[in-house]
Amino acid sequence: MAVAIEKSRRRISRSALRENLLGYAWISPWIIGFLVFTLGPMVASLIFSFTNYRIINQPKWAGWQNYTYALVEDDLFWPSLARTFQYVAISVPIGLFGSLLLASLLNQRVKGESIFRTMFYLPSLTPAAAAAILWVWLLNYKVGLVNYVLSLVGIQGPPWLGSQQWAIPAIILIGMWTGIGGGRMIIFLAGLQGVPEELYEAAEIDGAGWWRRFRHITLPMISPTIFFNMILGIIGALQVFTTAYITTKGGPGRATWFFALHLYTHAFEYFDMGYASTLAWLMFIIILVFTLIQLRLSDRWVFYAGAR
Amino acid sequence: MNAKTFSRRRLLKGAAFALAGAGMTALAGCQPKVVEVTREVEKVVERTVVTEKIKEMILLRWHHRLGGWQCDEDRIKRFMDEHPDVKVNEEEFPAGSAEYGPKIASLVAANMVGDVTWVAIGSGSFQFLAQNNALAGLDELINVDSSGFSLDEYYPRTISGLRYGPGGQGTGDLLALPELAHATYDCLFYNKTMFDAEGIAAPSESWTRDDLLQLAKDLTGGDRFGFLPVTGGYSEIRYHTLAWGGELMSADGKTSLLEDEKVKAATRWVHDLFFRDKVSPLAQDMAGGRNPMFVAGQLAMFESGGWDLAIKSVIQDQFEWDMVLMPTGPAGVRGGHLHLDGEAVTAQSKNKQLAYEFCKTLTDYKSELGICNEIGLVARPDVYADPSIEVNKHLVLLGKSTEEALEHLGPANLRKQESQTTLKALFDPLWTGDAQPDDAFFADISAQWQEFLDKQPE
Repeated sequence: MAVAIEKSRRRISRSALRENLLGYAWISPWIIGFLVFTLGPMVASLIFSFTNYRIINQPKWAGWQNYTYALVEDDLFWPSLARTFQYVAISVPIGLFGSLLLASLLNQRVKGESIFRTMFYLPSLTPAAAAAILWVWLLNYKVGLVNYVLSLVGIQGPPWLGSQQWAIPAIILIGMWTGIGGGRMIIFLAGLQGVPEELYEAAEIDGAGWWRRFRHITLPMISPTIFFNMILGIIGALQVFTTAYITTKGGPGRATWFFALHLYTHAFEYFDMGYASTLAWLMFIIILVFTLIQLRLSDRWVFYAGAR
Repeated sequence: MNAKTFSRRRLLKGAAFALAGAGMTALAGCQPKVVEVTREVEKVVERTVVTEKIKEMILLRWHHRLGGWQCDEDRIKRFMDEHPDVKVNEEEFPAGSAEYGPKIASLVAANMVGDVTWVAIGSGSFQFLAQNNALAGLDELINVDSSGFSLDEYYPRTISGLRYGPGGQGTGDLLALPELAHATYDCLFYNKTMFDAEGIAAPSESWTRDDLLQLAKDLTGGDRFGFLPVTGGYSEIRYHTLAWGGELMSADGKTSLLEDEKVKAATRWVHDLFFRDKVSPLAQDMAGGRNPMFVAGQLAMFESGGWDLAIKSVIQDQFEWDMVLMPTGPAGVRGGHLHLDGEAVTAQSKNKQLAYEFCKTLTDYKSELGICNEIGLVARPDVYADPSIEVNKHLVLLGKSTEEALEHLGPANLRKQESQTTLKALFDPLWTGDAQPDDAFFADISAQWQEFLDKQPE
């Protein structure tokens, strides 16, 4: 009897092993791609971050030199990081609010809802470079549409991308145009549509107005969605690059010299791959820390329906 | 589950085995039949003969900037006619430092770079490749060259500019033969039709910077601006500074001189054009950029380099235009300093002798004459004396400005590209109106410039 059970167990193990191997074989293309194109380069860049590597020569081991230089000696490291944080602090809340507002509007079940949804979503399909070039013209001081509209209401528009004061707001504006109606809005819409109607009905019966319903029902119920969008928004905003590179190249006077631009310049203009890898890993650590902090804080304000 | 049930798992297993079996059957079906063996052997013999013929030809790969010149074909053909066993393959890349430099660096890193590559002092590609031993020295090859070739055929400063050794740029081995040489920003382009309409005399050789300013004021009005100076990074700022007799750093490239009174004077003169005299458009006033403004008649004059003779293709027949040399500054010089392009043999080339011969062809009299007829800016004084060039007054002026050009000077740490972006970032706030050229400003930027100069060599 014991022998029969043992034989049966071995049969199950062998077939389970075969199934596992078959499973790995089916997903092997993805695994190979991940190792070759993602994990492999990540490990390589981690090693390069500890070397002096100018592409053209063999990497020379430098220990912590690059990290020390970044944190202590690079006079552009902390300013570019501060500028990036400034961008995050302004663009992410505005983006979340804007996307939620658009999603709320789309959730009204009005006629032509699908047309509005398409119109709001279309800007997010514009390639970032094309959007940047478009907005260079829209924000042109003399002939741009934005300043023209402002002049109609008696406001003299600023030089936008040509001004140290207004360059970052201009880039935030460009980011809002492409980002507010995009995937974030769709995710918010899905979240809003997942809020049970009976909660609103009960609140209405109790005499709650729209604001109280929004504040006490909608926001808590979509807090996981807000949290998700916020994490992704922060991660994306910390890596702001394309718009600044195309519109201002980090100017005027380094007003839009963001961290990603600093990294790109060291990698592809100064060919300092070792130091650029260091900057990349420092950004990775910063994003990781940000995300972990948000995850920790989420217990206080994110409500998961059904959770204890 | 019942073992006899036809499950999804069994279906997938069966499909996998069926596919493998079909593949193996297909492979078996592709086996050559015995009757085709003879024909295959004949083909192999033919291929071997052709391969042997190809092996006798030597392939020279030449990396050149995209949008080369019509004379490129002639140059290559002439070399291949003289060397029937050589095939030259021209590989063009976009010329800007954002494209060409990384491309060549990647090829060098992958051990796949060609035999000859275009290099430039201005963009920093020469300095970067030289410092990283990617270019082959030419002195030994020149010393044993019995063809009569002499470096005296080129402007002397173009030869020293393409040397690099332990003492830095200007010392050591010659690493490229000069192809282009020009002064930065010594040219003044103006709308002749506008001048005639306003009854204003055209600029002359004897005029001064004050004359230029007065001219610009006379032509500024409405939505038209009189003059646009160059502003930007290291090359542009140094150009203005040199006209006042100043310098941005010490001769050894290690100490900042941005607080020097001559630097301040030059900078303030340019700043006044924008903000006090208001004869120059700010960046925010330039919808579409400089060329569209010039073509639209909204800009009367602008300064630039000789390469902007190409503006004739933009203007076409819309109006008459002309080019003269900029007036000298208070120091009695225009301020243009030498920028060089060269053709270099790569250190990885397996045909250095042939590559050197090709560089000589690329920069010989005939080649340079062809280039000069297209864009001017050549590195040989004898070409400017050619009868076909002497009848073109613009090219004659370019030759003059090249002869007068001051020495190139770069930072001792050889961070050429970084020096360009660093100075641009430091001076930009002046041109946007976000800063004033007071003593505090110069003290601040001088400290930052010194921090850059103190950086370790690349």
